[in-house]
Amino acid sequence: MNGATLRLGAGATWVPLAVAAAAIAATYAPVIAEMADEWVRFPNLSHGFAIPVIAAYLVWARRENLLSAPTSSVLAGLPVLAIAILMLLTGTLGGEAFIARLSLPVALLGATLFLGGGAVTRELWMGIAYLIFMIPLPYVALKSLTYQSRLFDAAVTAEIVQWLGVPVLRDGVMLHLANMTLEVADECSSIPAMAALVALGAAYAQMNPRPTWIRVALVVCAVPLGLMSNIVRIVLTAVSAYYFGRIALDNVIHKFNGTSVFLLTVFLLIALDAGLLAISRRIGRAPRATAGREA
Amino acid sequence: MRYAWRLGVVLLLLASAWGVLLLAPRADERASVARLYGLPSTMPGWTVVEGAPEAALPLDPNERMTIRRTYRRGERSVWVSVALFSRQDLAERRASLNLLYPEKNVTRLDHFSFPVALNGSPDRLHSLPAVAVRREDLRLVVTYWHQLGQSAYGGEYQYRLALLRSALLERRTEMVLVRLAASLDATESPEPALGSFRELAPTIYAQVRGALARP
Repeated sequence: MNGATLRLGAGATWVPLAVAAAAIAATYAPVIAEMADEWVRFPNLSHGFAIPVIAAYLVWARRENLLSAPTSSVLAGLPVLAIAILMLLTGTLGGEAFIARLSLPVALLGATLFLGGGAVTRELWMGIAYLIFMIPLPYVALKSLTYQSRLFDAAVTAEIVQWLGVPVLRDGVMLHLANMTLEVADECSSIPAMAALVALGAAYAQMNPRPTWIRVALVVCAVPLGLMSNIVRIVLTAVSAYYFGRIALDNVIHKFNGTSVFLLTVFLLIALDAGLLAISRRIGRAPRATAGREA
Repeated sequence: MRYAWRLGVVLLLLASAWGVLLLAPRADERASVARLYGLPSTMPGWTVVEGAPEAALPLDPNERMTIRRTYRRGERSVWVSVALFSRQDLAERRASLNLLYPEKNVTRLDHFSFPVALNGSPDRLHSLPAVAVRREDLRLVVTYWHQLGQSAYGGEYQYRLALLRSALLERRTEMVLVRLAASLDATESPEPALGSFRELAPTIYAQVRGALARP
């Protein structure tokens, strides 16, 4: 921290960046407020509140490198910022919130490049890019994916449930058990939580020093692991509904489906991470003690 | 000092964005409610009855006005809804994607598209989305298109792009959603229903165009 104090006191080169960040925050205040309203209204988007905090942590974790990075200016940042502002105007005036929201990290990136230069941007880009995870996906795309995911979840669940000795007749997204019929509803699909799962994978991958290929694998695998967790949850619900009746639908696993899928995904990520680290050590590619900054 | 001008450029760009957002004219609210009420209530070869079941064509609370009719010929009934939506640039007033066709307790939804000569010319076909809805008590096919002024858009992405263009260049954001629904026959083939849609859709399209174009 001594270095930080010296640096700030010496050049005050961070002031323009701080002022620009504040101005961008003020310009985007209506966009951010509207997005936060969606995080409140839709439980499967509530991870949005955590994203800026995690992004800030990612910046904080690199504070030593950041404060010792030489500030300069990359002119290419200016067109990037101009494109972001064009996106903001198009999205806001054209009623396409996704475009306006997506322009926020682009604006931050452009301003950082233009006012801070390449070295500063190298330290900040991950925190800025992480903000993408707070942006809800366009509902048009999400809707068709969600239905396909429901069909897929129902088909796989029916196969597994039969394999476990429970007779079931699947009709589309309906699972007809001997004692009741279950619907794999929109809420049962893990697609709406996909962004949260990728964000979780990305944050988890940054937590400890590990080779880059393991970090990438953890991010990439977060979605299939999330889908797998969801199928496990639906199978558990179907089997317990067959054996215990309606009470199975009122249990914690079914009621808090988002939370149970999230926790199961964390567990599977930890298991995958442990497995990959073991493989990495075995083939002699274990992270060195100094690899903490590798990304 | 060398940072001051750069910061100045950034602040100027952001201030310009603010200015454009503040000074841009509001999107058009002059939706043509009265014009749509003038939609002809006759259809050659079909008996027309006012009203259409909500079970087949769900109501959307964001509809500014709606005309719901049942077209009947022999055993065949086609339910039609022509609904006007205004300020589609506002998320809270947008036509809901979840209310285009029945979705609650549905066993299966089969999405497909089929060609229709909306303007009557077989050379210029529109590809309209259709959904076969199967529920315990309901078997039907629903098709729809979004009409922005004189143009019809079947696909959601095409429609959104056209709306974006209309909102940016003309500041007009009203849209007419036309939906047609008919029961699946005993064989569950959608073809007879699609045949009726092909027959009715061009006339309804022309009527809506005419209503929207009237001065």
